[in-house]
Amino acid sequence: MATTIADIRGLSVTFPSKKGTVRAVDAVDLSIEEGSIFGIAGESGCGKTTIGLSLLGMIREPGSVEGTIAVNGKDVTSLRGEERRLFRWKEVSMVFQGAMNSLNPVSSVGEQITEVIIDHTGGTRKEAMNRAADLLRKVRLPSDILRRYPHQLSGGQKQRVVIAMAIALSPKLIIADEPTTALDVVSQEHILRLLKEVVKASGSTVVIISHDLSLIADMCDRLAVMYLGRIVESGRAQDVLSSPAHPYTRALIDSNITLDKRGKKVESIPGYPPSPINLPSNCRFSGRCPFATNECFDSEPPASTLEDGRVVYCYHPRHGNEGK
Amino acid sequence: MGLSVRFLVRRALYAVLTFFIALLMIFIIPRLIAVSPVEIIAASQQLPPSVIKLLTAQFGLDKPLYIQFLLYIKNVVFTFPPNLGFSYEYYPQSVWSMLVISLPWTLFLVGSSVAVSAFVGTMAGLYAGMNRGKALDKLLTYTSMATQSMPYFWIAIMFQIILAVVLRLFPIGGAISITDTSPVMSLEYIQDVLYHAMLPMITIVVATTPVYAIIMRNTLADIIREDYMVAGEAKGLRKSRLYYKYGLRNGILPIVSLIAVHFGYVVGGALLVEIVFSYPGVGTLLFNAILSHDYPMIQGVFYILGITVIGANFIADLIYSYIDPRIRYS
Amino acid sequence: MKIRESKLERLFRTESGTDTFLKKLLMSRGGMTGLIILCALAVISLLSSVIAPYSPYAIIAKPYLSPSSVHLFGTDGLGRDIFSQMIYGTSLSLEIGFVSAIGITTIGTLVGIVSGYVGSYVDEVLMRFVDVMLVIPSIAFMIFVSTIMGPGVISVLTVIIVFGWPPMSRMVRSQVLSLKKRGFVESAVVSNSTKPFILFRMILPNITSLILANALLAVIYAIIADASLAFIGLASTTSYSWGTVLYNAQVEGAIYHNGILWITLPGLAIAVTGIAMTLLARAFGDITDPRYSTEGR
Repeated sequence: MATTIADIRGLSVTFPSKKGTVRAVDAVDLSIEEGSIFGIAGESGCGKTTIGLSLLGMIREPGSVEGTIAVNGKDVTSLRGEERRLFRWKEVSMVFQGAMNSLNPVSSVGEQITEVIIDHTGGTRKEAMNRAADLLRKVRLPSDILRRYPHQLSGGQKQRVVIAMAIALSPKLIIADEPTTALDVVSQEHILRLLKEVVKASGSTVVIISHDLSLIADMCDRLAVMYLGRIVESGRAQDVLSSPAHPYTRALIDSNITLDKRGKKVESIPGYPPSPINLPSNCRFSGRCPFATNECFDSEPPASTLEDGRVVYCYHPRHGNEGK
Repeated sequence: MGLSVRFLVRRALYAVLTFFIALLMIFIIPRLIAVSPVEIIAASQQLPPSVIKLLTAQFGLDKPLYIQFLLYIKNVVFTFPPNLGFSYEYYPQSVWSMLVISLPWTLFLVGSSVAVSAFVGTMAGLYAGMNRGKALDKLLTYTSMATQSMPYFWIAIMFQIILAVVLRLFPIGGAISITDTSPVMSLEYIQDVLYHAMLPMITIVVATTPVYAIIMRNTLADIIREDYMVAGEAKGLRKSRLYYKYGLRNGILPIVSLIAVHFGYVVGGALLVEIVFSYPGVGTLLFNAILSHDYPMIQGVFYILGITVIGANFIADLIYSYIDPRIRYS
Repeated sequence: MKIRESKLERLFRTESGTDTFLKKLLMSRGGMTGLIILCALAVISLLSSVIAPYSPYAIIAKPYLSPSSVHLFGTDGLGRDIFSQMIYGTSLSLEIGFVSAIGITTIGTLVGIVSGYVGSYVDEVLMRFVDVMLVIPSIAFMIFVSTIMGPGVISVLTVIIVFGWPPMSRMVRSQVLSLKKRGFVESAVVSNSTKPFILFRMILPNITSLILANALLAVIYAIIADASLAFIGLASTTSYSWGTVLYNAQVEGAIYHNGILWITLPGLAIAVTGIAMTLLARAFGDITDPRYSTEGR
């Protein structure tokens, strides 16, 4: 069996707000195998980015984290100070959502890549510059990009720079948060192919966070579907996508198909998710679920494991496309 | 570099435009409110006939208003040294000759104070903004609330009482000791000048540092939420790098333009501080001119203040275009 | 930007208007403190003739008396009661502060709304002018204009208002611009609502609290400006504001005549008023835009 690179147990992330506590992530268990590509899917606001940030130990005050997160055998939640600083990016790096804004607008690309290398591995500026040019080659950018500033680059170029930065220290784990949003279709293709290729070459494990199931289907070995801070279904990507067991997963797939065929979203999932403040202690999808029964409204469904190893949190897990 | 030049040309044109509007105001306001400048002067003072004659000629009051304005422009812009008329109080001294003596003192005072407070304020604001809600942040918020609620010159008076009258640490006023006979620019002379400038400088620094600090802090409140800031932290960069290359480098841009905008406010306040400490700059010159209804002098002071403030703003634009890569390389 | 807008929207659209606003104001410690100080100052100025034991102009004792139970703050160089001058000064200073603030707010809001709403060349011309006004040292130009107009309350009010409105118009304009892009205003434009309706029923209500916060800051700006003008002898010589008391203390050499209180109090009074206004303004601002808040989150 492959070794586990990241192991999340009972992770809850909460943020205080004026109207009550927001539970962005609620009692999540996840384990990610080394060398795999893992997908986290869900609508915006379901807590998938928060999971990505907690893997980096990046939950800022006043947010608070419960549970354990182990990455490469290190307990991320207990890291502090210099130890935490060195852990970030060296062990886990991230391709942030919206590469456009995750580059420092007043520094050149070269400066921004070299500063990461220098702050983590020491060494001279010249060595770091060589390494940076190397990295740009890997993401197929000419080395004169080093002297450019973010505002002089196209969206696709910025995205490549951000990927180059993410692999700069050859981290064990790379988190890619919506790696293709705000890019045109052609660049999306290129970036995804590049990401796959770069990952294969580096041997890193990748977590792809996206609302786009077709992207995840394309890229990932395993996936977890999240709804309102909880995982509703997880398992091998092809199993989950070909025969969704949780009604929410199916709804998500349907909404994606609509998007594909007609070119625009006609109707996704009826209703709105409840507010993440003061969540009910029943199934969170019950209000929007066409199959909901009384027990769904009364209590939270426990985890059930299907024969293909999938884990589903639902009283009425459905197989295949029955009932359609 | 192409667009950078265009930016500068635009800002230069803008500075010139501002300057002409300021000139227009200096020219037109007395004429709007009173019938003629000579009348205001004549009403308030016993003037020797020679001066009245001189004035009438100087203002060209028999000509239409726009001709008068053009004449005024010709006198103050296209003549060197600018013909700003003669001071009544110190007749036959020209206004320009008096300004040339006073202006360096004001520039020295304001320049060095702004340099100190912009530096200290920016740093304090940087640390407060990066550590929101912590001790320094709170201290800063309350200090700025207090200093911004106090008249500038009153702070000067308080420092004068405490530091000069009671503790006798600094002289009560003036720019150099009466007894100082050491040659200009000798070490003793410079020491004496600094010693006298201390209190007015402290006043201006105390009054303006919190302004810069709060601007920086509030700018950082926005910057700290930016994706690149979160990314910088996630990249495990050194704290110093996060503070200076991310926080400061991004926050300094709005600061530079705001320092420029605030420069007028600082100069205005400095005028009053000069009066408290009898500092021989344009503020004191203005005060004496007001007391003696020396109108050409008053106009002259505003002329020179206009140039100074607009010039400072233009310099700020230059700095801005240099430090913002989005303007530097476009 | 997003945060501010959504808070504004929540404040004025989903919860109904002013009563929640007042409640929030009273619940913030700073806002409450500011309100109490402001009320105390208002009472003093309304009852000044009752509280002040003497006329501020009457020569009732020896000059330069030290503070005593008879003359709480001593007497000035002519033998007039400084306590009474301070009490009457409260009234004039507040009047100047509030009247100027009303003027500044009215002009600033009008220019800002016109500039932001009409846009195009009107906006261009108005904002260029505002830029110029912002660059010019306003205190200095106030002095300039007052020297020509001569001392007096009217001239003080005029110059304070004339040179005080530009920052306000800038603020209002940027708010109007950001509101114009908001869905509910855009849909009103599309559905042919009249311009006055959009302006006064949709845009104005949404920026009221920010305007109020800035109006409060304008009060202290005006009081300080009045004191500055008074300090160089350009304020009214026939009536007392705090600035006039300070001016007298300075020219009559209070420092050398045991007049520490005399010269300290006017400034303190202005500072306390300023802090009260700032606290109130901040409470207003925090309610609508909590980003810059220091108290909690």
